Amino acid sequence: MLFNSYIFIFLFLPIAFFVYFYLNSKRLTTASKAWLVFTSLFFYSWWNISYLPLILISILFNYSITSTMIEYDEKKKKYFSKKALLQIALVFNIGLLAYFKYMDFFISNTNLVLSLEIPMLNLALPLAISFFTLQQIAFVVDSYEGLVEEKNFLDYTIFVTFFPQLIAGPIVHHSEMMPQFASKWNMVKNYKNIATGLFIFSIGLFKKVVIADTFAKWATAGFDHAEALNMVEAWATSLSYTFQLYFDFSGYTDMAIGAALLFNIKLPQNFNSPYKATGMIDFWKRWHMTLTNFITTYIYTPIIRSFKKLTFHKAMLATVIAFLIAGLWHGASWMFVIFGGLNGVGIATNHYWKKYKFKMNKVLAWFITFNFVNITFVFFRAKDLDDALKVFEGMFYGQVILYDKLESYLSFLTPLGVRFDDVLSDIGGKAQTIVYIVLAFIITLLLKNTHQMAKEFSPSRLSLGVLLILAIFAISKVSSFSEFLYFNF
Amino acid sequence: MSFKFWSKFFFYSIVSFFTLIASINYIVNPYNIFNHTLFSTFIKTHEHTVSARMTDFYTLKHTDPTNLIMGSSRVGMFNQDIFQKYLGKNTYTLAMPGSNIEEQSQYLIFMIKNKKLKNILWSLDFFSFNPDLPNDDGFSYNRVDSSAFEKDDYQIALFSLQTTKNSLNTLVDNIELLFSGQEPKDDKLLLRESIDRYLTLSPEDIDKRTRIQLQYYPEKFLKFATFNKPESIQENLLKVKKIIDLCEEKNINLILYTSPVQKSFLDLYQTLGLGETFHSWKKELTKITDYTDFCTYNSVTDNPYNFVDGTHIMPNFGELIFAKIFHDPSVDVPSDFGTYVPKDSQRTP
Repeated sequence: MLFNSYIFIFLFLPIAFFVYFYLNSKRLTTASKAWLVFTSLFFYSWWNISYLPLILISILFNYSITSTMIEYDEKKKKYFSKKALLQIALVFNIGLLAYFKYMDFFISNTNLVLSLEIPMLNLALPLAISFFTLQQIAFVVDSYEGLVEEKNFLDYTIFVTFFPQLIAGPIVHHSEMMPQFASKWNMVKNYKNIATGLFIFSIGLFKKVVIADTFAKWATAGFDHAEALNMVEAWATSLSYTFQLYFDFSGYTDMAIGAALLFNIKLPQNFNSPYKATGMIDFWKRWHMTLTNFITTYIYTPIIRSFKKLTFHKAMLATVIAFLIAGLWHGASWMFVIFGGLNGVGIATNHYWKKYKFKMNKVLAWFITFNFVNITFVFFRAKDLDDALKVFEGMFYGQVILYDKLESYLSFLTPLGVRFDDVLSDIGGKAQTIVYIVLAFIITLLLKNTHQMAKEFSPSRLSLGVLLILAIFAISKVSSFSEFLYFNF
Repeated sequence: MSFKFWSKFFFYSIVSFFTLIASINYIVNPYNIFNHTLFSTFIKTHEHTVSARMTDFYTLKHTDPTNLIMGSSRVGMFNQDIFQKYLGKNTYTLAMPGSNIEEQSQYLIFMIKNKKLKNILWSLDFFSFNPDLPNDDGFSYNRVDSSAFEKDDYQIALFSLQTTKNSLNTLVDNIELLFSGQEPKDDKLLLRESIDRYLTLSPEDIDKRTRIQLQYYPEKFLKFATFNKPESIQENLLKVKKIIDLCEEKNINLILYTSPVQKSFLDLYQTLGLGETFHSWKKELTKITDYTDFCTYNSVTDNPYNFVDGTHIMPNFGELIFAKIFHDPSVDVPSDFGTYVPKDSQRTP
């Protein structure tokens, strides 16, 4: 079930909400939690019920192991040491991810390198496996470290399956979530949270169905016709994707945060105006923030710890390795590895820059950062290297074509190879495409983000009127199938 | 304003608004998606759509024709009475502009499986066999799969603002009709009016229309990655074969013919390097069925003014097609127009 579907907006969410608070009002708190688990699993199974056993097995296995670790008494003799339990759990979780997500990638590369013909498994990627596995790995590691005390199965299951964040995050940490599920204060309807939740959800829906889906048409057409793009089309394609990705993913996150807030659950912020960043370190502090936190805590820090003597250069090497892994987490493709590697190198460069105290004009810093991000997203979106290179060829060496209406004013450019024609025809774009791109720059660079707006939100006639218009317009657009990009990861 | 009031007002406003527009859209039913007759004495005409493929499908789904005429826009150009003359009443014409064989065969499979058809007349166009011609954006597999529920169609028909606009326009049309005292123009009348317009086209108009079509047609319908290779059409021929088998199984009389195009378009196939595929198309068709071939150089196709443009024959000449197929002695059909090609014929058409 998609957040941007009528069945979610008009049926699933209201029913889940009203029954949850009805049960709470009758002091049936266990039943209300069980209801949340049931609705979350129903939400998950809506796509394909065959995925359900996998997530249930994963939850049961991880809960059993972590419970044993939490209760572990070093003095008593056990068949398995605590460390062995950790290793079993890590092998299980990483193995699950590796099998479903990376096996065919591994086979195809083995076949390529060793000239073999091992048949592919062609497994369907179980929905949300990357997200629920990461969250549970964090829980397992923290249980081993002695950082977890809670041991309530229902709270743990809600923590993993809670439908607003189940499919594509934000990646939540048990320490910020499980106390919320356990708190009795959160079981009473809170109209401030409900109003703010509706506010955030509506903005997210608008970002997704009105803005992201509009850019999606041009981005898809551009990448499908990568070989034929002129310079304007190639830039419009890459920028369309850069904006599509942001409005799609941050729109999804807003909807997740808004929906969770209806149940008095505060999900962590995932985006903080990332395209305002003036450096790559700054960018990753603003983009997919919960993933950055996870990478730092559970990938970068263990790598750092593994070095006997830590130096600045080693720390930078750890950064690049962590980002290569994070890149691969997005999907089984060398394109994601390149994306991760480039970002790792970008961050390392930014650190060196800071270490040697170089200064740069802020506008120039923003310009370089934004373009670097825009370029790395071409790798993120392209099917293969050839596709990405074709888009770059268009961006940097493509034919310069300007609107035919400009010919009378700019005809002196013709001897320089500039042509006047229909500029954006290969990506199905019109003058409207340029207007949208300019508006997207204005929204992402000059306006407050949803989190900032939500902080300042107060109930008023103005906010009610504006939100109603946004919501009605967005809901009426929810009429065709349009998945979120991060569902694929 | 309190948070409680804000939340409740927001929620109930959204629910009320969408309940209201869903009710209007359901009653007005601008795309004929819902099979009801509410206010049918008042709402008589529906001329606003978002997707012709969608409206056509549901209109067809809610009727029970005995005979079906299937093809691209070309079959929509004829006076529908001519079909009744040869096939009897209760004949439905499904003209799907720019459709490929995949779309046509999917609609045919749906009709064969779900309706009691006696005759199907299927007009085949060369371009429809182009494997590189994609399905129309408005086409949906869920729609023609009777075991699936095409929720997108119902969502669009109930909740979209575009549908609401179309519903209101439909209401305005019907109110105007009511006050004018006129009867609504049914599809037949509208078609007859457009046929009359075509018949008054001047040679200059036809030349211009042909010239414009020659510009966009190769890009839109004949653009290929593989269509220049004769074997590329095999998959689409198999789809035709599947329909032939299904019709045999269901005891439906299936009549096939190739649709005529202007001489300049027959020349165009050669110029574009599609000559071999064009030749193979007919040769392979004879291996699976008998059909009548009108897509040849003949006295009708040689004269550009027998056409509305390059590929749509004038309605009055088009009617010769059916006289030929149904061996009507009362109509004088040029002897070289339409060749009956029996199955497994060794004769190269």
